[in-house]
Amino acid sequence: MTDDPRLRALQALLRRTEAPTTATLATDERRSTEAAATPDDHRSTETAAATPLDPAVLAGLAPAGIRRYRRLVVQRLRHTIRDFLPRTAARLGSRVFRDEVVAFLEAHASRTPYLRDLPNEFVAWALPRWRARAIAAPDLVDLAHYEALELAVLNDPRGGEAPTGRALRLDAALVFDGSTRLARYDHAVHRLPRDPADRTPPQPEPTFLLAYRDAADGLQLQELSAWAHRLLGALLGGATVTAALHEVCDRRGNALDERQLAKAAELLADLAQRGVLLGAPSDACP
Amino acid sequence: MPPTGIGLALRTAFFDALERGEGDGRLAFVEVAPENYMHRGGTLPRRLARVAERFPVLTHGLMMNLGSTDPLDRDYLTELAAFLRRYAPPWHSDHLSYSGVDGVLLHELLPLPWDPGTAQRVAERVLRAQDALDCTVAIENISAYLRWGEPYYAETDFILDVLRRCDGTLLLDVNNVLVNAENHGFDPYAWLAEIPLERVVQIHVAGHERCGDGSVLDTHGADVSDEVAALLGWVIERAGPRPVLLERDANVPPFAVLLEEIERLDAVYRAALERRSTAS
Repeated sequence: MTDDPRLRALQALLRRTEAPTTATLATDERRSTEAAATPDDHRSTETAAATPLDPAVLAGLAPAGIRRYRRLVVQRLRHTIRDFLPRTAARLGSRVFRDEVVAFLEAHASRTPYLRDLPNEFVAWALPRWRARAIAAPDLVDLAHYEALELAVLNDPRGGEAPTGRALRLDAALVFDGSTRLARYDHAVHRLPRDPADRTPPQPEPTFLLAYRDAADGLQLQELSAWAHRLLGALLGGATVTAALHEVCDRRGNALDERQLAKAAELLADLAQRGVLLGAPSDACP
Repeated sequence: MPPTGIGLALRTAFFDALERGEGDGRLAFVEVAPENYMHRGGTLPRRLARVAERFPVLTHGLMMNLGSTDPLDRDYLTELAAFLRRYAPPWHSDHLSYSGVDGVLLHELLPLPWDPGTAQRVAERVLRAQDALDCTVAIENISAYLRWGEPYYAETDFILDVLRRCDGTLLLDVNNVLVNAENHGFDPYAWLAEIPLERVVQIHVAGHERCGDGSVLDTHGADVSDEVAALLGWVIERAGPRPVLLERDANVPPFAVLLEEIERLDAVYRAALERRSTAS
């Protein structure tokens, strides 16, 4: 495909934190002329601010038009993320939230053609940054992840698959509904009120959740024990029932015994009844 | 046969009313953005299937990124092809713009430079997309708030060049024509006179809003202005029956009020066809 540096240049301008003016465009033009002597391939540059711009392009662009598009881009990102992560956005506060959206645009930006997936892109980018720089408190980090989890489960293209018709076997892996997710938090953020204006702090407690979409397309959550969470983690990772049980017991330093088997049987029977556990794979031996 | 008359862009806010039958006999068709339904589980795809039992469905995408220099997104096209197979629209449309390069997507319809190289690239991508989708791809003229300096040729020449190179069809957005005419200072009727109307397969109308600095923004957040309605009538009088879509994305009024606007547009449409009939 033929390259066109003009498209890249406009994109880089729109991603920058600093709104362009005639003066900054002139500075870009000067820097770009200097950069032309350096044969770096800047196509894979992640950060928009570092992208040298073609002086021939900049000469024809009106700053007012660039600012208009910049506002449109930021507004769309901000509104989309806020609509899908309303409580996170509200608890961050409007200034910090806007700054974080702008930083996301400059440092990473979206890669998905589906606008509804944008909040999950934002969360995946933001959470390590919020933890490292203490931009958000740990309970807010948990809430952001949880709101993104709800969105991912409700819209996952997978889910609603039919039971495999194969009975559970200890030496076989298991098939789960495609929307199933596990999550672990240090705060019970799933119990917070839905109202974005609410500021109730979440209860600090180890929280293990199983999330899935039910037959009526609703979100279902199940609180798990740490033991069940680890077991299901291994099973969702593709381990056989026996291997998953041994993994859980080994980590606790316990031997696999009748009590553990009974607990696992009860858990799996419950999940099968809920339609989350679909059976052994159809290619498993009968 | 493609539908003709006035249709409505389907938004989640309208689902309840449409499923209750409030649009039956009032809308010629609905138009959907496939990106809102494809590659997605949950309730919305099911609701769309129910609405599609009541109305013909046209499809209008946002993210084909026809003007980009990146390769076309194969996964996206595969999902879109499956969607189009299911709803079988007479064509699929997307914008004469780009949304990003180097894998980045800004979720905005960014303007393209008007030159033969860009026209060739877009035309090639339209042809490739049509092959991948097994469906005609119509391109839509956009509202543009930025011009790429002194262009090689006028916007209408650029559009015509793209259409000639891919033997393509146009989704003509008359609100976008008016927004650009206001912001860049040209006569919208002179602009329309340059467009070969036989290539126009569909028309979009929408409302726009004026900003504090006097410029006009294509918000889809207001009623269709009298000026846009007049442009619609001008085109229909010369082009004949076409599907005409009302887009409303912001400041959405109650559904009954939207139906009143549909009726108003339908009166404009019928009057234009009457003039066309009288003239011939």
